[in-house]
Amino acid sequence: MKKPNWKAFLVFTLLVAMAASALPALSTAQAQEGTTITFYRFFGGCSDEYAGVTDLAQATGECGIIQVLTNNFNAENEFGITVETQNIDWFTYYDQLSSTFAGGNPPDIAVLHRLSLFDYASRDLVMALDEGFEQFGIDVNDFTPNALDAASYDGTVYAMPWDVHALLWHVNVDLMAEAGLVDDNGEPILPTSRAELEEHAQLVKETTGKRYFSMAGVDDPMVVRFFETIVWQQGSDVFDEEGTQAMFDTDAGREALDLLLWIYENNHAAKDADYSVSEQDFLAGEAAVMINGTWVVDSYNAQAANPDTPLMSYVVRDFPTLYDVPATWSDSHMWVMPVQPDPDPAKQEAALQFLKFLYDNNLQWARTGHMPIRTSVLASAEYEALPHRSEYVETASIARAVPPAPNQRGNMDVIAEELQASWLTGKDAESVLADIDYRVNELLGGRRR
Amino acid sequence: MLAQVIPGSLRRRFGTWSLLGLLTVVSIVWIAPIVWVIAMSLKPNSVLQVSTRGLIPDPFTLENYKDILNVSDVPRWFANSMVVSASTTILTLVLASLAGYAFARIPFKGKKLMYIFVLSGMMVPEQAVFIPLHTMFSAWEMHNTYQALVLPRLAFPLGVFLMAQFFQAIPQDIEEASKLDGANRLIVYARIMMPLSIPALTTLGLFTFVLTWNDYLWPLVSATRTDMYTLTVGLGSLQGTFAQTEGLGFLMASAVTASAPILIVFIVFQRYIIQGVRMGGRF
Amino acid sequence: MDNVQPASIAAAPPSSLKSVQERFADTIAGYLFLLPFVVVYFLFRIYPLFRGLYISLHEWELVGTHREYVGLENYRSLLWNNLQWDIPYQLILRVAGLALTAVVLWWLVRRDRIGRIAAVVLFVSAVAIFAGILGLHPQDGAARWGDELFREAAKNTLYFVVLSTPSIVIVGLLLAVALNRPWPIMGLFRTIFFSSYIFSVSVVTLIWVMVLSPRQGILAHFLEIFGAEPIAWLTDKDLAMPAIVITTLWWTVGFNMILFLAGLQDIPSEVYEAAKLDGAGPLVNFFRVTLPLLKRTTVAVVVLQVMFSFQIFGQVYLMTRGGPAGSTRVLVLEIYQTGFRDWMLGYASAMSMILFLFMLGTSIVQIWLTQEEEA
Repeated sequence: MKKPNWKAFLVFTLLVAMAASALPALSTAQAQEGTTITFYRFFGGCSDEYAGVTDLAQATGECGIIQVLTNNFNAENEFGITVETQNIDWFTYYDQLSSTFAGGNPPDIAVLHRLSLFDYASRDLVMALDEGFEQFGIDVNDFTPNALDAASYDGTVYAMPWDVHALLWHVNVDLMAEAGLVDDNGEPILPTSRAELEEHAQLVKETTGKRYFSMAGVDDPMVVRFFETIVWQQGSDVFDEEGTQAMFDTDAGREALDLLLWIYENNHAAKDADYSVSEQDFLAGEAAVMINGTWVVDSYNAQAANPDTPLMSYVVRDFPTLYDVPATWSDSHMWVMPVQPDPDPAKQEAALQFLKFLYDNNLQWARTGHMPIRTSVLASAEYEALPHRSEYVETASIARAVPPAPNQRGNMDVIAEELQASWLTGKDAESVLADIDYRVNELLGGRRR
Repeated sequence: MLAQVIPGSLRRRFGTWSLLGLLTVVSIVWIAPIVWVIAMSLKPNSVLQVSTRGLIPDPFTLENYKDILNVSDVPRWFANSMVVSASTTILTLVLASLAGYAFARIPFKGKKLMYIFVLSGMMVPEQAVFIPLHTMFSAWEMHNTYQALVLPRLAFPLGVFLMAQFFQAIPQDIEEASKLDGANRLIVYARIMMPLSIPALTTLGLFTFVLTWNDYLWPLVSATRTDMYTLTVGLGSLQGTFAQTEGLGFLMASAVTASAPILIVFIVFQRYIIQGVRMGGRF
Repeated sequence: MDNVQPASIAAAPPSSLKSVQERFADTIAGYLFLLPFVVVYFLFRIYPLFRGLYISLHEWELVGTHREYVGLENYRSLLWNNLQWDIPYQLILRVAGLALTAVVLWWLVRRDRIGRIAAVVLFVSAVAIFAGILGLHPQDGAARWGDELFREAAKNTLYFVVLSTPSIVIVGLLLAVALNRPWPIMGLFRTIFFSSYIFSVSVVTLIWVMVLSPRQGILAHFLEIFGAEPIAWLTDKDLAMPAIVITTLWWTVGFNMILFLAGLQDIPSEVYEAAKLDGAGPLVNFFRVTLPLLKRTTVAVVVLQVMFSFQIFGQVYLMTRGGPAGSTRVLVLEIYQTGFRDWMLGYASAMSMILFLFMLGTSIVQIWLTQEEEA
């Protein structure tokens, strides 16, 4: 017992030394002149891939573009401002953001969805920005009506919108051609009614043996977006105008659920596909149409250009009108400035400087496939020249969003879970829709009863 | 028990070999996922996008590990986990052995009541108190600190129980020789009891270390800055659906990097585990 | 060492020779030694429990300043919203059930199968169940009562406990029995089976999400050799929970194995030699000798395993996020989401309190049952 355990001691010392040596190197990196602001966002982490890159032309995808914009601002702004990115993964983002508010240490700028603004703005957790925008030359009048609407709560602007993103049809033209679903110019023929959709889906299955749709069915709210689009296309709605009441259990809701059920029960989309599997399937040429948002246009375009990817001829289409009213689901990413327990004017100013920089570079973000929030950018030649952009011009005018209401993010989870239950567990349509109404109304009320 | 080893008959020999065969098959199945993950971590991402087949890394690359060391957050998370786990372990050993010594060796008024009070804490799981803890650390504005990650972990009644059990088992006469007052007690504790209890401390330390290293829920809600993530939370955050389609090799390499050091520690110390459980853990 | 019992802690060592003064000094010393731990323990384990109770009596938002005292409202919403209690409701069945229980208990006491105190406790609980709880029923016209999500989460958690506890305990025991031989190769096997326990939950889930993936997974590759269709484990509502159990088994069975090994090594080899002289084969040995002698260890392992299983969170959160269609949404996940996604800390705290009571009740019953048997 008296003999000290040298081996154990050595290993332990080694590990502690390793840990200790890593720490100072990391913490000194932040000591810089000027104001540092924290920038809380998702969009993925790629500070490694784009370390030191400030040339915007080199960036692709959501992550690359926002990272290089940040790098660029850090390197070139004349105010000595440092923007420190906190990249949080998509699934825990809102939980962690809430947690920073609870801990009294919210970031200086955070990304929010239009869907979530209500929760923060209605509790005065984020700053009203009208005055700041005016002071720093961010022109609210240049916001598109949709974007302005997204960023406003109760008549006041609480956020700088960053994009409008909507649901699109991403089409594999080769597969469509194989099924004979192209016109004389080689353009894909998309359905104009549910009957045609069923016919096309059947045709693709019979002639190519592939699925018509690829769509994230589990662990993802994609089916909710699809469902809401179909309801809106029938001239109906899923919430009342004030966002105080859910109304999924309607004729339009039953039709939308029935269409989804038809798709899944006839295996026109894979029941078990999550987001990444649905992407793999489409890129592997296993599906004719991918139901996904604007955010992937840029990266699918790049993939289609890559000879290793089976997907070769890729085009984008507005969500086709299958019923009476053109509509597609949309949302917006936007930047908010949380109310700080100890406000620091220097940081607020720095944050607004950065927002102004982002505002000026809205076109860069639109390269991902998102629609810009500035009327001037939307009308610009540069925007039109971006790949595939001419293929979904209608989307900007048919985009719809759910109304501002409490707990919309929780609602989305609830709706997704219930919808999936109908084809995964065979839960009957009546109780699915009734349960959605019940559960969403509970959350809208702020507390479950 | 040695009797079982000696192959007395053909039947017994057959039994031995079939047991060995069975165990070999099961353990190969057991570690196949690990081998596969290591193999993937040594392949280029572009190859993995097409196919994840094969337990042999061919084509071979160290690119993923280079990325982790040079540009990713993984080293920082590793350092955080190291600091948090090491300080939790050391402090737990000090607190638990002091309290365990008192319970085992010092006759004092109200001891039984205190012991019940301490042991009853084993019934209060961490998951039942993480919300009030979160509000407490919010009020103190202490989230995103090492203290926030360490302090709640120190309230570990099982450690006191194990140390008390161990000290109980050391013969009384070692300390009866000298008359003890408070100061002398501390000397006896430090000079005599501590060296005697190195095996028990090692075991308790190992388990505390592993439990802290693997803690997930509390660091998930407390650390909201990526540079304060522990490895467990950090690796969890890399697994969002969007990350998974790209950089599979990188993801696997980060898992290997995260696990290798603690695996080495375990292999070095492993003989203490069973020994220690036998000594203290006769529940 | 074998005689060390928790109870022996309280037995004072021979101190008759000590003076009052010395005893006073001892008491001071004792509390000084305890102080550091007790402070931390009180602050971070005991106090939060009561603070959680306090929060659960409020409408308490995670962010912002909304805190409003609502009494038992959160508990009402969770448990007995839209329920009413009537004496006449199902009266015949309830009276019959109570009577039957009473008869059975009386018979058991007469036959000395259970003790009197136990019988009284059981009878009181039977009264509570038949007269009290079973008299509750949804109000007229109310289609829903209590919180359905919470009940579903409780059901999923119980399902996980019921699937995981026996499998992890039994596999742990079998491994321990197989490896309890002093051959060098056994050390290697032990290392292998224990090594998966030291991985982080996020590493384990990363590995198993990949292994179980129907397109990229090693399991699918393996099945392909036999021409079998790949299985979509994590996105199938019937297979998702078993897949999580398998993952958990791979991850934690090593810990149980070690506890069993420690227990096995305390069984003197003479016992086996005696059994061998009686001509006992390995199976008889296992059931007649090993199992009875391992009883204390087994009880401890089962109690610990049940506690761990009730607290499942990381595996579900990282592998399925509670899906598909809510089939793996467990209690801790529900608490986490209610608190941190929906910001309802009061409501989430009420759920934690119920989880805590549930676990407390389960372990008390388990310990009581085993002691009853020993007595």
